[in-house]
Amino acid sequence: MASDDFTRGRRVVYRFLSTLLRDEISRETWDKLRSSLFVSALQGASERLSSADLNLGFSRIASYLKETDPDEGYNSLRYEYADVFLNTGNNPTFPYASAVVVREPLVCQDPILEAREAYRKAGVHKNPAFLDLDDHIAVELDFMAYLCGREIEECGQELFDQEKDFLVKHLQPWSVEFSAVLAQSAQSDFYRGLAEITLGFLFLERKAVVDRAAGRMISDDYVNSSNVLASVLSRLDFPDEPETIVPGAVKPEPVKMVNTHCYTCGALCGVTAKVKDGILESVSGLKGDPKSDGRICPKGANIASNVYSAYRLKTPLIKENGRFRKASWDEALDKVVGYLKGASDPHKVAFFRGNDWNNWLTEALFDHYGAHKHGHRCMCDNSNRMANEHNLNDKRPWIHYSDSDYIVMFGINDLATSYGQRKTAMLKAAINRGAKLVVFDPRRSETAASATEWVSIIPSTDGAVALAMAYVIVKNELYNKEFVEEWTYGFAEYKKRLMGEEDGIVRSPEWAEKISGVPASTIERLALELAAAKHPGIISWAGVAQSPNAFHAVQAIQSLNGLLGTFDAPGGPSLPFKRKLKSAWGSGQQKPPANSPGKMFKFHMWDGWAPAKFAEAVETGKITGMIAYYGDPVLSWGNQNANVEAFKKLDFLVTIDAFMCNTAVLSDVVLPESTYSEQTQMKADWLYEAFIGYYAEVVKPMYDTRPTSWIFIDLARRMGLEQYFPWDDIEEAYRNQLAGTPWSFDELKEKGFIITDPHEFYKYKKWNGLNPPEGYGSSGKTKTGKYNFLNPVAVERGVDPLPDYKDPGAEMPELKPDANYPLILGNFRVFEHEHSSTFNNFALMRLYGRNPLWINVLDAKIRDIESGTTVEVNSPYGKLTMPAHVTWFIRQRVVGAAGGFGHWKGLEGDPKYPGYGGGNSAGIGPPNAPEKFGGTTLLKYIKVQVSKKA
Amino acid sequence: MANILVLDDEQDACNLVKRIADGMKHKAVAFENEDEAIEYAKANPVDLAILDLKLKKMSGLDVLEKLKESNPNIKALLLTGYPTVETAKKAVGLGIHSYLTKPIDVDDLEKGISAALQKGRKGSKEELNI
Ligand code: SF4
Repeated sequence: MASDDFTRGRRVVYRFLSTLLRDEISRETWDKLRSSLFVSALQGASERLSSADLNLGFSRIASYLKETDPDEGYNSLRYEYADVFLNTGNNPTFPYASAVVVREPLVCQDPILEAREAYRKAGVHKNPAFLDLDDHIAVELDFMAYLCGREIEECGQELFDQEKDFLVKHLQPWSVEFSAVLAQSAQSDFYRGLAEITLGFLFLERKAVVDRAAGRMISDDYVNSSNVLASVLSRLDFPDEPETIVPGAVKPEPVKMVNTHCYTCGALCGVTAKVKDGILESVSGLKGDPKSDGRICPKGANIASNVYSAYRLKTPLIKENGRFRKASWDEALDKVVGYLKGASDPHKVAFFRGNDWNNWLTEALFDHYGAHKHGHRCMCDNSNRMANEHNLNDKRPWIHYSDSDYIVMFGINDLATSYGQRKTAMLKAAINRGAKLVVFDPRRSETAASATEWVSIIPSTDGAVALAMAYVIVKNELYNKEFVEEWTYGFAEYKKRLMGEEDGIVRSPEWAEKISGVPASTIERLALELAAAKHPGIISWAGVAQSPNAFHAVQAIQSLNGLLGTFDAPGGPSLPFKRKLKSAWGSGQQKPPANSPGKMFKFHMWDGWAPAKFAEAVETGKITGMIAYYGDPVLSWGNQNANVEAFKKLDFLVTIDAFMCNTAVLSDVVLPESTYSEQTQMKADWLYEAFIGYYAEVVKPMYDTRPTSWIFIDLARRMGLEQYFPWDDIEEAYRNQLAGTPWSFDELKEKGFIITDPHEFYKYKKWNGLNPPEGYGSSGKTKTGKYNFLNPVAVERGVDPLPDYKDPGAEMPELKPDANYPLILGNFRVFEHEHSSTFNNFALMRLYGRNPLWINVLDAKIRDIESGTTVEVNSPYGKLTMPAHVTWFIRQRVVGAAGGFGHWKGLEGDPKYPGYGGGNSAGIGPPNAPEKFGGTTLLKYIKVQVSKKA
Repeated sequence: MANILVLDDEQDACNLVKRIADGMKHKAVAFENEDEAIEYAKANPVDLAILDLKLKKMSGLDVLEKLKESNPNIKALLLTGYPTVETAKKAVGLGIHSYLTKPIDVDDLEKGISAALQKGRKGSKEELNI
């Protein structure tokens, strides 16, 4: 049996390690550590310990304490703590049994359940006031301290068995690897020493416990060392009682199934989450949900790897002397409010929201404040919107594939882009039953690979091909005359354009061949097939929209649907409609009045702040401070170097995100948001049916993170605007939004969705026009109530209103490929990722963790490039280094790479995982040069040269 | 059934590990000499190597490096009487599945063997570059 003194000594060491690893070092602890008595006792002890690691560890800590300046030493430990344990650095240590045992950057794996089971058996649980995880090293060390305390008061085989099992089978094995990683990622001798002490001490502990279990004497060496340590460390006067462990066994929470929605991509599929003992275990599709109907994609199936990514932000952070340190919410939010109140002109502050989570709330605050705001629009497809939202009733009328027999896609990889796994399944079913799918794309995307016909096309020439197809259809009088007559506007002018009656240029297949590289015979054949189909549908998306001539090209493509009268027809684009919810501000509550900053930039078809002109906006003093919520502007606003420089010039930058994105790195304050699975929202939505979707709090917010609604409401209250943000909780606002409607919030919460209106074909006949009736919303509105071949808003703004092909260099000649930069770089989406938001999801990175440059075999050959060769991609505006993927499946003179890669921190930046990471393909586009009609960033049209890296 | 190579310069330890592995219905071959073990692995399939860290001529980690030259997919468990930060760093860098401290606990070793031989993701651990 061990003596009480020995056990007391061991407890002191456990408490010491737990206290130093639990959190950043407090000033009080730092002062105690630095007291001269303690330092000299430590130095003396470091020569008398029986383990080399212990000796080394203590002497390192002693020299750190002795040799550093009191203030500098303290501050630099705080910065180091943030870098190493709070993920502000690029080489973190994860202090969790789960992450170490699975050796993957994931928390809340099986080892946390093992730890909970051990605590339960001992009648304790993790102190809820400690906001970190149950298998955090500090909690496990504290648990050992607790068991030591019990051993002093009582003894018995059962208690010893608990101690032995926990130490030998759980804590000590993972502590070895934890210490190794900490020793490597530590920046100072303080934490390096702590790693050595942890390893050395737990090894001696294990040996002692095993000896005791075998009835052997504990070695004198260890007893002596332990006594020495105890006498030195007890000078610190840390409490004997563990601080992260509290009495009371907690039963495991029962398994629960939660109906909710995936928010990884914009598709918003309904899912059911299985939660076991408070931990998200798995996710499956929610049957009957209009977006998923029981199906999900790999991103949805791996939501848990997002929630449990070890790279998450855990606490608010403040930058000080160029480094981050932990801050309280009070301190961080007060600082943000200080910036906002101190700004010379609120109209020079920008609010960017990279997603639409509770956007009615986030925007209300910044509209009132007077900031310029921006969402997804110009990063995605504003040119497309300017065409569709004025010519019909919505930006993206998705095709209803159930009856499709002929589908034509321009610049959309629908199988990877998805917008709902139910729709994807319908598309696959259509292909399987023999519907013809024609895909125009310079790259053989997943959808092109599944198509009946992949037509390789020169980038930015889709409009020419669409017009030529229209020409064939009109010339042969194969269009839907009844629809054109009754439901369209501007056909006569459009026909003149096709026939060349205005400018002498006949938009014939031969004309289009010269522009697009698609043979005239192919264009003619496809047009005739399309016109003969019973249930045709034509669609385009970002592949077209992120090009200089997109506005007219989208009009040209959509005009094929107009000609054939496919809107709302079986197999055609379905006209979107959503229920308008009531105001979140109920009776007696007042929405904050807006304070418009005016329109920052004027584009041909739209006015507002386009982030692709961010550098210019900062340079000209239009923006001096920013709140960036989600979406990582550094990775999504185009030219990276120009934008980084601009961010550095701001008076203040605040980022709200769940991860240390690149924009967060440049920020003054970082506020850690909970992931969407830890917070709620309610949303009116549509996919064929109109419905309301609910996004549940599947698991409680982890660490010291907060839901978006909490962050914005708290900010508002600190700004003195509490009267405008009056809800007791966010559910009160949701209930207001459903008040007086036939739909019950409680039913919605339980089911996850309520269908408000079933799908119908030809709704416009019932509506008596293409716009949905009162009480419904959609993103656009046709002023004529009909489909417009001639865009009436373009007429008002003095823009050519008809579909056309415009030379991509017509307004921006500098963008066209030339002798120095002969290739066009396009940025594409892969099925495994969503914009820049999924790169700390280890499960997805295992599926797609590198970003190779697709290059045609012939282009590669003349450059002596093979697959795997490291290449340099140079544009006039920047440079990337990436591995090559040499393939026939991309057109000659076109190269492509996935978007979203290029994070400085997190998994991509972590040197421990060198197999993951890639370049930001969007980052070498032209600065301050969006397309001229809607301000969309030009991600699909960047001129480059590629060469083998020397 | 998996092919397991055991290498420990102490005969008793070798026998104990081999007996445990055989008892789990695997085919274990035990060596006390590093070169013989390396030669054997060149000529025969080996799924898992159980290596003592401290050997006569080389360290278990040096042996693992050699084994990985001919069989990069080989999995490994490392046994050690005395872990240090430096050896642990190298072991993790070589992607060892787990690091078991001597004296060997039969349960631990059995658990370690089963875990390392699991198919797919659970059985293969990342090699950390540290
Ligand atoms: S398509 Fe995938 S990622 Fe997008 S919402 Fe659906 S399941 Fe989630």
